[in-house]
Amino acid sequence: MRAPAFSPYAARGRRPIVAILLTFALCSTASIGLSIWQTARSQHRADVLRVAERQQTLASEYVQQVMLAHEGVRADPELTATILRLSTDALLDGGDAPAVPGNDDDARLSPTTDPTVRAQLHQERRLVDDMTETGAAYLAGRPVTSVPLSAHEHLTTTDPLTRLRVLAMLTADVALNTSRTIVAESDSNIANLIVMQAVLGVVGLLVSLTLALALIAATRRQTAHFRSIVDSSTDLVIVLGDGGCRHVSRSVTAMLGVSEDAVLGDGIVRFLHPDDRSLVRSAQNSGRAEEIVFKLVNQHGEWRTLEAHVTDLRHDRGIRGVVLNARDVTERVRLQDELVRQAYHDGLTGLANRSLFRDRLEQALARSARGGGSVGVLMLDLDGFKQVNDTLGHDAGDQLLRVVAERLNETVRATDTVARFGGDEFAVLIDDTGVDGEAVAQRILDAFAGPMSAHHLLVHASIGIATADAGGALDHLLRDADVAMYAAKQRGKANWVRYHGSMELPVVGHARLGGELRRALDA
Amino acid sequence: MLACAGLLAFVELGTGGWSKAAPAVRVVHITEHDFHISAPRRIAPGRVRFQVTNNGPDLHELIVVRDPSGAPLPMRADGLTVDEDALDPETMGSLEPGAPGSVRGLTLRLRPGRYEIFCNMAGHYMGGMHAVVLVG
Repeated sequence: MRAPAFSPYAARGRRPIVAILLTFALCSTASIGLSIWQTARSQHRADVLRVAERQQTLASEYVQQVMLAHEGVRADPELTATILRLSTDALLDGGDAPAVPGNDDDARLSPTTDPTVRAQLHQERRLVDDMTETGAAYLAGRPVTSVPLSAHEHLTTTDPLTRLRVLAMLTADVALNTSRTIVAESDSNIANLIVMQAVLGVVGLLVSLTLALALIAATRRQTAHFRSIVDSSTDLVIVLGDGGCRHVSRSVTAMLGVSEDAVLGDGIVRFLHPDDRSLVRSAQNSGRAEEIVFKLVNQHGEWRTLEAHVTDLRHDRGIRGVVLNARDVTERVRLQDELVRQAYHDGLTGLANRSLFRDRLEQALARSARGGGSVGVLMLDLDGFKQVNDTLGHDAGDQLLRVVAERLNETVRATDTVARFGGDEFAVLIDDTGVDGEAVAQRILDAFAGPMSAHHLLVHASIGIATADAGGALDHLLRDADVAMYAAKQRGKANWVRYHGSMELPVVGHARLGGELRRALDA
Repeated sequence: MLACAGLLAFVELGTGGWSKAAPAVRVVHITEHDFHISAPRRIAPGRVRFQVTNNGPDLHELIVVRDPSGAPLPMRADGLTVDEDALDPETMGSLEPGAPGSVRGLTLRLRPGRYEIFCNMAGHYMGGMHAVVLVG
């Protein structure tokens, strides 16, 4: 089976949240339902209790009304007897319990299910029957002792009123105890309800808590995964916002070799190259999407070059800043610089090569064209270098060339350019009109007067001098210097010759031939 | 539930507590129901335990009084209930009203004589809930 794809965003959190909400909804619904049901039951139970308790009073009233009726006073014991009987029936089997005139309303009751209460209500009904039969017999003048007793009473007295009062007392007592049983049952129901509500609440809480903890754990795991990915990335993330630096990735602190606290806030300014501070600040202020390059210094004082893409996330509530997604391009820049250097310098001596020399010469000529003045070129060829190579070997030759380069550099000013064109051919660019080319050439010859290198070689040079005034062409100037150099060589060793127009034609062919031969030998 | 626990506690006290030191307690079964008390006519003197079962459907109490005379018990002003205050010196023990279905114990030390047991809840005595027990 394929492993599930890793999702850095909290999609898995939805299910626990839904489950938590469902649990709460279920528990709340059950709890509210129970409360409503119990409230309705309580309402009904209050009616039951009122009717049950009423029986007690009605039994006493019945005896009084019988006595009053017996005395000839107008009373209606039969109505009370009917209410007593109907109420007992309603309590037992459900139905309407009639109203007591001038006292309360009628009530619709449900049948009683509790067996203890039912047994007591049955007994109550029997006692009501016995009492009302006795009352009726008494009022009718019949002997009360002949009234059959159905509730297992064992009345020894024969006095009708005493019998009636005892039966009323028993009826009232049973009615009272029935009410007590109903109350006790109701109390136990309420206690059960409280326990059920508490259990529901606790279960709901525990389930929700478990789910919430699972959710937190899952979120934490996902965050950890995401953090691992971000932290292990070599990309450098810097978030700039109000109050300076708001966040740096671990790669940044690792690169700088300092703690996060040192970089946050205004701390980052300390690490920024002074030349780059305004650049970074403007990126932070504008948030414009662009690539910027800036330098940060690490704890070893080493400058690291960063190339960053700017993203404006100031409107993102989770970020509230401008994000720099940067890469450390120090090595790449160094390599580029090195390649550029190699492209424009001579590998052996470190002097400028022909390309760089031409470039500088072009610039110098352009300057001279704008501001007047002249540009001088000295073309220099070593005398007898080939013999050094042939007799002492190429290493000695190379060493000699390096010494020559040093001597040349020491002789000319820093603003002048010394180049090696290849082989034993050198060139000097004198970018100043006021300097006398002949004097420079003479200084070079003087510098070459002493022995060179460990082999105490004496090397001389032939120097050709050419000067261009404003508007002079580069190739012409180089060719003129070349021609003058060959003229000097022909004149004898350790010599310099300034170019003049008349030497051009006869020597050009020779010079070209000489140049080609030399290049063939160098190759 | 509470009644059961109370009963259990009573039974434990009655059997475990006294079985070693005191002579064995005789158990006398008494049954109450609406409106009659069933009890043995004659029992031996000494420590006796009345085990009272209420068969209901109403609640019932039990009062034990020594009544050597055999004359009717004194009644309250209503003429329908027994005057318990007047009988207080002769009252050997009593059980509060018990629910239908309950079984309760009442342990007494009875000397030889004539005893009357009854329930004095409203109208119950007049309704027939009384019995005579002879001891000795």
